[in-house]
Amino acid sequence: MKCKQVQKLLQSFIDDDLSESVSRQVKSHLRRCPDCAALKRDFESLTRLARSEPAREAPPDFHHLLRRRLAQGSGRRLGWLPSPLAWSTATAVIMVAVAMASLLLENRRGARPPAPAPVSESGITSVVLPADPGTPGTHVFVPGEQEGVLVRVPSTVTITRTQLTQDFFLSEVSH
Amino acid sequence: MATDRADLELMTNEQALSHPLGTTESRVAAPLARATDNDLVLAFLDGSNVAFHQIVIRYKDPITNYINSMINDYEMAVDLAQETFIRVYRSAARYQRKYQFSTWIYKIATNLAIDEIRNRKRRGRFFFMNVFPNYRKDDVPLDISDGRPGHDEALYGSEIRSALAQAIACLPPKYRTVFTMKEMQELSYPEIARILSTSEGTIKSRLHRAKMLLREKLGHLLPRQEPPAL
Repeated sequence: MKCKQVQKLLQSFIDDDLSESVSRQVKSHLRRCPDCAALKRDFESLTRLARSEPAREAPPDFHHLLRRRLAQGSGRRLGWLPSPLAWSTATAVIMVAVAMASLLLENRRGARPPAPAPVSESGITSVVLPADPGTPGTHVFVPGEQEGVLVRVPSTVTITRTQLTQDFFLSEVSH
Repeated sequence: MATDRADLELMTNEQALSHPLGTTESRVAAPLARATDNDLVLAFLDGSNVAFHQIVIRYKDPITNYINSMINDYEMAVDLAQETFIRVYRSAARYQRKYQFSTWIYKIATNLAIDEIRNRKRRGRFFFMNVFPNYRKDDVPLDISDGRPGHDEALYGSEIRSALAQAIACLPPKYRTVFTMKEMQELSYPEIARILSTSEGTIKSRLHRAKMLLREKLGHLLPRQEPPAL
């Protein structure tokens, strides 16, 4: 028997899972071959080591925790899903984006003010401009019919303005 | 069936809240300690929360230990063991009694552990590839000293076991699973084959490969004993 064959059969030999004749051939090879004999010793050492590993038992409050989770009806969050905080942030960003898109549509449906004239008839009045309203992350105040709203420009949205005066229009929003 | 199951779930949840185990139920549980796993599952499906409690008593330690061996993280192992029982609780109706219950629960635990390994690998690789662009998965160094038996046998024993745990954690999941089940949990080849839905031949071949990989990592540290006379 050659080393390759013996090595393939080694685990079965250790498990005493070979026929008598094959087992005899493996045994005979192991007597003559120090490399295969060393491999067998290492395989056995790995088994001994693995089995000497002290068992880690469940903690004493295992039942209590399990009962609480079952009562709450909560399973484990799937690992690949974002954390609840990430969900909240994503939801907030989407809401702002939707709000801004609604405002844009509202503006487009209404009488578009001829620049650079004031646009009070469309519900949009002059606002205090940030340093650069087109920069994602800055806050812009968008006045409405009754009251205005302060929105943060999401990083996925680019805003340009049609004029560089105190009148600020959400004229171009692109994703 | 789905409606029945939902009703049962509601009922057992209510029971779980209104009858804390350890009082009346522990007295009822005594005869159940001798029941087979299948009997317990059937009793649980009939609405017995005590039967579920008994299943937890029977499997919480081996399942926690098994998952801990797989992922080498005790806190997460406890979390995943709990999730295993939650899945048993919620889908007991889907348990096919042609398999042993132990096969089914180990299958659930294995899937959860492998998902966790994959998630960690994804996160770890992302981190390492950004911080260390030349990182390769097999390059993780083992944090061990060369401690052949010498001054302190106990220290050597704990170091080599720690090294083994780290080396197992570096194995690809399919080898890690088989090595853990066979050599740490001491499950039989037929049972491992059923849990992993593959042949015994494949299991033996994976075990051989797992040991070869571990030997590569730990070879110089493995205790060498004189070979017994063949």
